[in-house]
This record gives sequence, structure tokens and C-alpha cells, in this order.
Amino acid sequence: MRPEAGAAQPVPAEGASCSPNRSRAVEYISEMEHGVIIAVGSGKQGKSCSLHSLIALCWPGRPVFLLDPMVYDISMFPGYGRVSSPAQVPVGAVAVIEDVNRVFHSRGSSKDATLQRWLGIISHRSNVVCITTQSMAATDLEFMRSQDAVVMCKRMHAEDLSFERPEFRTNQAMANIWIDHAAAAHPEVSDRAWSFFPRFNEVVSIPMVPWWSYRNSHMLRDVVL
Amino acid sequence: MTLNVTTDEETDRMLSLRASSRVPLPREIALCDERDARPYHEWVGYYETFGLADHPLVRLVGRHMLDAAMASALSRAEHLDRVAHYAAWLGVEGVRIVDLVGPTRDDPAAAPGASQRPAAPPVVPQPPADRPCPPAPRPRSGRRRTNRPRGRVAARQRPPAVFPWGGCPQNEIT
Repeated sequence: MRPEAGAAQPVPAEGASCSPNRSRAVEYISEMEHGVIIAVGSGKQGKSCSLHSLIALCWPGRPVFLLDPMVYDISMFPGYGRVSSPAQVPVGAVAVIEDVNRVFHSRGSSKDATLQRWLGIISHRSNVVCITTQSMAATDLEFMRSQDAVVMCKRMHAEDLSFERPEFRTNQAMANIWIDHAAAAHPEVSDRAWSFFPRFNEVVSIPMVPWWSYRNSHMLRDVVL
Repeated sequence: MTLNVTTDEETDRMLSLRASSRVPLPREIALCDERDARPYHEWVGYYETFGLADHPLVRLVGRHMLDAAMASALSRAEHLDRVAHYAAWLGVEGVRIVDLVGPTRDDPAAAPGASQRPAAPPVVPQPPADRPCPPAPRPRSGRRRTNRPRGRVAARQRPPAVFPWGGCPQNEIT
């Protein structure tokens, strides 16, 4: 939802443009031993890039594994491992699931208890699960239930917003507004670098990892369904 | 200005849970609905045209209009949207913009490529003395806090984390 042309810009409340170089969201995520981080937004809005950059920023040196039953080349992700099932995620590692609806269907936990059983033990195994999704409507809400969940919102198109779950629609609408506002206030920063964290009421630009390239954003290009 | 809003028991329970989490949302949340946004923008646009948007009286009246818009949106909203609207009322601060990417005055190579490296903390414009920045509330995590450096500075200072499984190779596991 973008502000109308000529309409008044969202009025920042007191302290909104006061931006010390500390993000509460990034600091909180840096201290997370276990939990779920959900990058949600429409296609090609920088979800994967921001998520991997956030992992590199918050947990340098922590093992990261891509959880995907499909086989593809992961050499484009330096230092990453790949696992094909949740049981293979090592203790203490970060598990990244790209486009989570491919791996865990949005209503799958009603038929298969794998996700519930896994999420029930991530706090014991000190795992952080990071997922990307195009909307919460296409995401199994089991990821949010009883978890330390941090939602990272990117831009969402109006059509996707109209189909979004009601409980997340307002936050996503605010994300659209404030990402536009931040991009206008900082024109030197790519607008796809900005992410809105509703839980912390912050819109943060995350530095891109130096190894990110076209191949990373099209990692499933050669995969056969 | 007093506003009376009627809710049901379930909404009040959700609201108290939301309020106890101390996660504020900005008041502008009321403006997400077009029925609330259009009158507000039409009214404030008039004063912005004449450069009076920051006048104390305009801000005072604007705040009252926002309260009315909030109540109006609240009465129309579905159950869970109502929680978010109420949270905005209870919130004490707005959205913060934190730029971790942009080049800083201390960064000698302020080229486009340099902005991708978090080389130095960005220079922050200080707020005016009459509007001090409110203290940032810390979200409760339920975990005991320790007195140690935090954030990106700490990430550079801390040695790499040692995990119990340490011997597992970082390559493909099938």
C-alpha cells in the first residue's frame, strides 16, 4: 500500500527518525539461541538476500545449512551445508528453508506431524529456523505457534496483500509504507535492502553479503520438478 | 478527549496479552484504511500546502483526528485487526529507521561498493534538544541478560561461536 501521490507522507512519531547505529531487532536476533525468522514479501523484493545477509551479520561463524529435499549446487553459498530432512540439521546450526511452501505445505501440519515434532525440539537443539515465503497465507502457521518468531517484512504487492492472512495484513501494510519512507529518506541505499520488523517497530537496511550474486537469487534455476 | 469503545471478552483478553508484551505499533496504523486515511490526508494536506504542518495547533488537532480515526477503524475491524489498532493506541513510540548500509562520514571509500561492507557505524544526526530520543524498550526474551558488548561491534569482537557438535563437516549431508 503506497502513499497516494500528493498525499501527506506518514508522519513519523517522535523519535522515529532518531536512528542510532543500533538496531534492536538485529541485536535481539544476534542473541537468539533458538527460534524462527520469517522473511515474507512478494517475489524479487530481496527476501533471500536480506535473510542470508542477516545471518552473516548476526551469527558469523555459526554453521548454516540449507534444508531442501531437492538436489542442486550449493557452492554459490560459501561455507553452507545442505540437508534433506529436519532430522539431519545439526545441533546449534541455522537451518534455512527457501520458499518454505515447497518443503512444508501451508496446511501440511494437519496431515503430517514432522514439522510439529521438529519445531518442538529446536529449542533443545539450539537451532534457528530461517524461512522465506511470499505470504503468510502460503506458510504453515505452525512456525509461529509457541516459537520465538521474528517476522521480517519486505514489500508486498497489493494483490498479494489482499490475500494475506488478516492477522498479518496490517503489519505488512505498515511495512510497505515504512519501506517506502525509509527508501525516500536514504536514496543512496537500495530499496530492497530495507526490511521492516513489526515486533521491534523498526525498518532496517541490512548490508548485503559480498558473495551475493545473480546465481544466488536464482538458485533453483536448473532444478527439475 | 474521551473515546468509548465496546469490545468483547475475547478481544479484551487478546488486548491485555498484546499490551503486556510492550510491542508498540505506530499510530499511523489507523491510516491504513482508506476510509480513515482520506479525510485525514485531505485535512492535513491543506496545512502542509501553507507550511503549517508542524504548527502546534495543527499537530494537536491532527492527533485528535487520529484518535477518532483509530476509534472508527477499531469499530469496523475484524477481531485480530482490532488487537493491532488497540496496540497502536497503547504504543509509546513510532517506527525507527536504522540504516546499517549507507556510507558514513568516517568511511574513506564512500563508493557504491563500499556501502555493502559494514565498515564503520553510520553517523547519526542527533535529535533536537527539545525532542530527545525516547529510550528504546527491550523486548522481553525470558532469558537472563549478561553485561557484554552487543550488536555488530560485539560480533566483530567475539570469537566464533563454538557449538557442541563441532566435528560435523560443513558439506553436503545426504
